[in-house]
Amino acid sequence: MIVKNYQKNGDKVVKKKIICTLTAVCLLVSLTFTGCKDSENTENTTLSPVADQTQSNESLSSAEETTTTSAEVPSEENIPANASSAAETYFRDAAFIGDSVSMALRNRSTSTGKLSGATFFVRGSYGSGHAVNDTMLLTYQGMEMTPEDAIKASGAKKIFIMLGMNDLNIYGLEGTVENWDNMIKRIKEKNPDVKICIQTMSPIVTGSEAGKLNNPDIDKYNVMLRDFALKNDFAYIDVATPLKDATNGLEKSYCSDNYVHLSDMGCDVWIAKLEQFAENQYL
Amino acid sequence: MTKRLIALLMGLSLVFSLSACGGDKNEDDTTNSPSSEETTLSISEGSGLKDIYDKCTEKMPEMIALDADMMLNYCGIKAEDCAEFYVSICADSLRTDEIWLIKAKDATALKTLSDLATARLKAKGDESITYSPEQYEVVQKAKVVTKGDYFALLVSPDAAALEAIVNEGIAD
Repeated sequence: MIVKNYQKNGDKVVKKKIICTLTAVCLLVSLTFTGCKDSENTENTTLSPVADQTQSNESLSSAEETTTTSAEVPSEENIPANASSAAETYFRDAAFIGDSVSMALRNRSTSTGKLSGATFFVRGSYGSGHAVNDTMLLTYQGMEMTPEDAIKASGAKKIFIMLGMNDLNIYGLEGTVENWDNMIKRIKEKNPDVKICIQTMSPIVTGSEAGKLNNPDIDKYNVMLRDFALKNDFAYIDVATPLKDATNGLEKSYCSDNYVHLSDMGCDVWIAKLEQFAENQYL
Repeated sequence: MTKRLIALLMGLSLVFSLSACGGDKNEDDTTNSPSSEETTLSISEGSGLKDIYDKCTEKMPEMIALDADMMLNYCGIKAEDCAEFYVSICADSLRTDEIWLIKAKDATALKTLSDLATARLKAKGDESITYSPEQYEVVQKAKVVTKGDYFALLVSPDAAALEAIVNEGIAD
């Protein structure tokens, strides 16, 4: 009897063990084949170093110094924090007018999502001369238009302009600034409430200069643009200084072609400057 | 009782193992087509417009896919004219490489796309002729393909090869 009970109890224990084992296996199998996928993470982007952390409009009084002396070579320690919420929304009603240098900005903005919502009226070879002579038009939604019509069609409330690369050798420094004056008058006539922000022209890699496209002349031109901005109460951003190296030329790591066009890193420096401007909400 | 308990446990395990928690397939960053459920492709068996696009872009430099808003602003193409679209520009702004692969909604949309492509090529030519003769030549050799409701604009040094991929992928 005792033996039988012992055997019976032993069988019960074995059965329990089998049950537990089977249950554990079933649970393991169910967890293995449960198909819950994580969402793909969106790509994160980081900004490249920024050499110049100075304010834009606030530094106008010392702009001459800034544009004629070499900026320090940018370092990784100057990487700015991610864009503030102001910068993330600030460009939704902004438009950029520019040449092939700004085309790189457009592409970088598109691929990173920075300057979100901005419209880009940019064309290779474009200059202030085209804007006043209508010899090359800008394109918006597949249609060619003058800058003033493109801005009106897009509904942009603030415009950021960088031009000069395709003007200085044709019109000279004074002639190019005169083109700016005429161009902006036309823009304001059709868009009286639009805010204007003048961006300095970016530098050229030292040794790649040609004619009036040389860094000392570009510096002078940028000072003239600053004075023009001050006189007309336009905003002004010194994009050039943070892009420079110790030779006062375009930092080579910021250049894609050893000439004038910016690399992704160079565009990130530019974008950081614009975001800094946005945070200060000068417009 | 024990047996019932065992059966219940195993049944629950089966239920959990068969439950499909798989999320929706996330849209690839490089695709920008409308919901694929809305399109019916009459193209070569075994391939889709996306497949054709992928094969083409394998032969192209890094490209930036345009969403509906960018496609309208950059190229003038309205998403409402497209049953499906894949439009990309070159990440390197100094290159003129560009690809449009679109299934148009109707014949009117197809005509619009053709006109936009013509204007686009002219604009690219006007820009590149002064700053890069090499890129100007690429624009001159661009291919435009129209097959049924399908439209392709192929701007690339390998435009002829891309045209062959598109023609092979879109059956007559």
